Amino acid sequence: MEPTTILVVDDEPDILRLVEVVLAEGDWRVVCASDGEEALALARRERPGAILLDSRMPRGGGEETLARLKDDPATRATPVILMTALARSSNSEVPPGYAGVIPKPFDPLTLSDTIRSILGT
Amino acid sequence: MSTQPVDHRAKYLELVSQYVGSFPEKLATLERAMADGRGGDAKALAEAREVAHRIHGTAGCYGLRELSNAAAVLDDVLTQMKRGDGGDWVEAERAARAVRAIAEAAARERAD
Repeated sequence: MEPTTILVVDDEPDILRLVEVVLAEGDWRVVCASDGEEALALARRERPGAILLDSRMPRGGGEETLARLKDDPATRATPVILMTALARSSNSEVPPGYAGVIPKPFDPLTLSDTIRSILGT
Repeated sequence: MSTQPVDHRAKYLELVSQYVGSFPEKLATLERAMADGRGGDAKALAEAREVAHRIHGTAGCYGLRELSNAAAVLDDVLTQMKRGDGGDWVEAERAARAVRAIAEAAARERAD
C-alpha cells in the first residue's frame, strides 16, 4: 500500500528536519513547506492526506493559510492539524477548521501515532 | 527481525546532536537581540521574543524539556514586555542566563 502523504508546514528548520525523519519512519510520505505560500502550492500539487500546520509563519500565517486551504475546492477536504507552541496542553481546544491540535513541544517518538489518532486512521 | 527502531533512534540522536551544535549561534542571536532591545530597539525586542519562542517550541521536541521550560519563561517575560503589560529587563536577563546555563549543560552532557 502506498504511504499517505503528509504536508508539514513550519518555518523552523530544526522542526522540519525532525518531523521529516520521524514521520518517514512512521511510514508517511513527507513533503515540507516553510511558509504559507509554499504550503498552498504543495497542497494543490501533492494532494496530501493531511497537513500539519504551524501557527506562526511568514508569508501567510497559520490562520491565513488555513482560510485559503478551506476556500480552495482542491484542498478544502484535507484535514489540517494545528501545531503550536501557543497551546501548552494536549487538552487544548481545537480551533474551528482544524482536525486537531498538537502542542509544541511534542514527543517525536509518538508523533506519528498522535496524527493517526487525530485522523482516526 | 526489523532493524527499523534502531535506525530511528540513530537518526534521532544525530538530529539532536545537530540541534545542540546550533546552540552557540542561537544564544548569540538571542543575546544580541536582547542587548539591542534593552537599548530601546522595539524590533530587537520582538526578535529576542521570537528566538525564545522558537527554542521553547523546538527544544522539547528534541527531548530537552528543561531548556524548553526555561525558554518558555523567557518567552513569557519578553511577550509581556512587548505588550507593555509587565516584565522588565532584569527579569528577562535572569531568564536568559538560565536558558544559556541549561543549553551549555546540555551541550557538555552530549560532548562527554
